Order: sequence, then C-alpha cells, then structure tokens
Amino acid sequence: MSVAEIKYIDKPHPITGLTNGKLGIWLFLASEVMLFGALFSSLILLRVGSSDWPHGKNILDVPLATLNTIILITSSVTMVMAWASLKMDRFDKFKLYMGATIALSCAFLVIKFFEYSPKFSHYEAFLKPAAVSKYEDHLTGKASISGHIEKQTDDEIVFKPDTPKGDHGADHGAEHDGHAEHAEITIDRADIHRLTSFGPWHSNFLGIYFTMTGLHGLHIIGGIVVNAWLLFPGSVMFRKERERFEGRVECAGLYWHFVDLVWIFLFPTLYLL
Amino acid sequence: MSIKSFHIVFVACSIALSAFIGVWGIREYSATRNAGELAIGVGAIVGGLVLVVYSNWFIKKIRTVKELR
Repeated sequence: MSVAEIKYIDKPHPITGLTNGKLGIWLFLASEVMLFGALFSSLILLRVGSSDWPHGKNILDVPLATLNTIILITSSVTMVMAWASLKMDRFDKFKLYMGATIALSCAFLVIKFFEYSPKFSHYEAFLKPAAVSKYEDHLTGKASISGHIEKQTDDEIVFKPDTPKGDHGADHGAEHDGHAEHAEITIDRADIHRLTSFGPWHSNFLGIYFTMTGLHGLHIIGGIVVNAWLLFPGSVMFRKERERFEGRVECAGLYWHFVDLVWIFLFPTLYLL
Repeated sequence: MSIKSFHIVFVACSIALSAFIGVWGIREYSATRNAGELAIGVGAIVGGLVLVVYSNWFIKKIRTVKELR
C-alpha cells in the first residue's frame, strides 16, 4: 500500500505561490469577510431605515472602547514581532511577543466585560403616552426615563434616573454608571409601557451592537486559543519542522490581523458615528 | 498576501482611524466642551503620528533584514 505525500505544507505551490496553510487561511478569511460584511450591511440598513437612531457615544462607553482599540493595535504589532523573531531565529523573543499578544487579548476581553456588565443593571422605562406629562421633569428620552432600579413592588418602581435631557436627545446612558443620577422617583407600573435593561433586547441599536461586538469577542477568544497553543504545546515543532511552524505562526498572525481590522471598522461605526 | 503586507495594510488603516478619531474628538469638543473628548482626539492624533513613525521603521526593517525579505 502506498502512502500519499501531502505536498506544499511548508514550501509554496509553484503556481499559486502559497503553502496549503496560507491558501486555507485566506479562504477562511474570505468567508469571514462575508460574515462580517453581512452584519455591517445589516447595521447600515437598520440605521438608514430608522428615524431615531441613537448616537453611539450617548449609550456606549467611548473611553473604554478607545482603550481597547489601542490594545488591539498594539497586539497586532506584537504578533508580527513574534513572527519576525521566529524568522530571525530568536525563539526567546518569539515567546515574549506571543505571550504579550495573548496578555493583550485577555486585557481586551476583561475591558469588554467591564463595558458590557453595566448595561444589564441600567434600565429604561418607556412610558405610556398619557403618562409622559406626569414625569416630564425626569425624562431622559422622548417618552422614557433611564436609570437604575432601587426597589420594585407589584405596583410601582423606585427609580434613580440619569440626568434629564432638556433637549430630549436620546441620551439614554451617557452617565450610565450612575455618576450623574438624580434623586429617586417612584413610577407607577400602570404608567410604564415597557421596562427593559440596556441588553440586546433593548433596541435595534443595542441588538446589532451586542451581535457584532459579541461575535468579534468570540473571534478574540478563538485567537487566544490558537496563539496559546502555538506558544506552549505547539512550539515543540520549532525544533522539528521549523518552516512549518513559521507558516503556522504566520497564518495565526493573518487571522489576528483580520480580527483587529474588523475592530478598526467596528469602533467608529458603532461608537463614534 | 504575506503577514508583512497585511501588517502594512493594517497599520495604514489604523493611521486612518487615528485621524478620524482625532477629527471626531476635536469636533465633539467644540460642540460640547467635554475635555474627555478633546483628550481622546488629541491622543488619537499623537497615536497616529506614532504609527506613522512605526510604519516607516517596519518597512525599513523588512527591506533591510535578510531573514525578513
């Protein structure tokens, strides 16, 4: 019985100029472009079709997201440095840079957790049209009050509202960590049309925000798993099949750059525009 | 496309993003007088300049270091 040899796993194919791994990762990234492209298209269609699309900076935490942008850009630099260190036969530096890439990726996820978690304890009470005038001084949206629930019974909710907006802008959560809250108010449950936290169920904006950033976060987790494997158990290949290992690190680097590039587009689209 | 080329594309996009955040921060500051937004804008412009210097260094390295060519 003959054993078939798999060609071009470390040397590029003479026609395509690519190894199997690199061809595979680019095909995978092409499918990822379609996945995120569909979500960006959905975002654009939802936005242009809405008469009241909120400004991201009024609901989302721009400083934390900016910090995460810096972290991801830095992680791409450390990733390419890890690959360059391998090429220059500096395995110790490869370990250092790859470790830094993983640490930065973990920092991104921790910050994301701190960005997500306040959204689930911050509420918005959408009032019935007849009750809007009753709470006029506390409105934070056109017909809604956002803030934190202090106490609730079957009949009423004690609410600590955010700073009211005189201009009725959709400033639902600029001070969503409670730094600029007003005195407590009691809202009759009978006056509330809908009570919801700032989770993905709150609105189309937060629905698409959690979908896109959540999917991006899953890609970050995937990158951490692959990079950690290359740093620890996978690195034994450096001594045995060096070219193949360099190819794997390059493929992981291409994936990581793609994930970071998605964030470069996500950040301004969701948070700034 | 190799990781070298993709990295250059990525850094170019990051520089464009820095410029955009810079303009955004200064425009928001002029409208709201929020010092935090000005800090983000100025920080982004400085970060963008750092990235320009870094990209020049990186391109020079991949051209001159034999193992990276």
